[in-house]
Amino acid sequence: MEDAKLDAALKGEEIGNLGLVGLRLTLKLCYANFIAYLVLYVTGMYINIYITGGVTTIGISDPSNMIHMVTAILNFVFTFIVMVVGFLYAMRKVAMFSLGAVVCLIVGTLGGLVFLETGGGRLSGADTLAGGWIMSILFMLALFLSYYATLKIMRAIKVLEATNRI
Amino acid sequence: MRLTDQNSDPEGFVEPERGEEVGKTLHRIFLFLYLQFAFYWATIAAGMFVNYYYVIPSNLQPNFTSIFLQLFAAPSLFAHVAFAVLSTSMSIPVIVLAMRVKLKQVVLLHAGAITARMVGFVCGMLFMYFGTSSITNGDLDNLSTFIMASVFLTAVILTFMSRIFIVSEDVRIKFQVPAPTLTG
Repeated sequence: MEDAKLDAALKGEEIGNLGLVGLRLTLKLCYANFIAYLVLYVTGMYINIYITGGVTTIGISDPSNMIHMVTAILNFVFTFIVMVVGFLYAMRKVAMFSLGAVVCLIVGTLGGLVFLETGGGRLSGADTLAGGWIMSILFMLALFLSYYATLKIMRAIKVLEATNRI
Repeated sequence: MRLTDQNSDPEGFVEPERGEEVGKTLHRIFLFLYLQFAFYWATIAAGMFVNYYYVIPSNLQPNFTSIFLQLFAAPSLFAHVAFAVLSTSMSIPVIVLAMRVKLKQVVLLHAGAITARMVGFVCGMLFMYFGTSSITNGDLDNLSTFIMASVFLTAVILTFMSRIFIVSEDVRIKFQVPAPTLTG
């Protein structure tokens, strides 16, 4: 491709200044984040269906809750790192999507704590249910936002590979 | 074997006019995928309302008609099913458009997502069936809910993956890179 055409094609592409190796490493981190999301979803559904589905309540020290919370912390750490990478290496969209995900994870975690602290069960009252609902919906939104950040990183890698601008 | 034989010349490069047409089709796919993800999210939001606030009525009969009509009885349940149908149906235009630009992987992934959602729909009905007062089987009730949630996630993952191929193709078209080959 000619240089002028290439520059025109690169307009609107957000490749940042991290370089191909750094981008590939960040992409691996994003994949690890998705594995954490998967574990989070499965443990969450397990707790929701098999533990708090009836009259049983769940406490913060319950083993399944511990696994769920540790996974959520991993999600937060991975997403936060991707956000910082986005801000530091001029990838605005990656940074903004990840920032959105980080905010969702924080507010979602607060919702989860409300769920636990106000009873931790399906029959524990309106506050518990509201906390649970906010937690579920915001973690799902965080997943979607992290996914879009991942796609932007992936696109930057593909563009760099296509143009050999390493 | 090439992934996109018919869009390319023998060297694998895309003709500019054809490339522009493919680019437009890919951007239409992006729009449907945005809608699909919005509907996925709405399905979860409504699903969580069902999860926390919906109780299977004691007079529900364990037969298809009465369970099917129940889907329209509670607003949260109706919203959940409506958004699930909408999100699933977004795969149809994606499949049609992907076939037009010969993106086999996208077609297969969305066909898989539709299949997963169908299984989820059956499990959703079974959840209600096992929850009726005349059946009341807690274990199978829980199992069908768990399968329903798992296949929903499977569908989300499959559609997520489809976008990877669309982005790759979009970049390939834009920068006129030779088509990748499956065999050496």
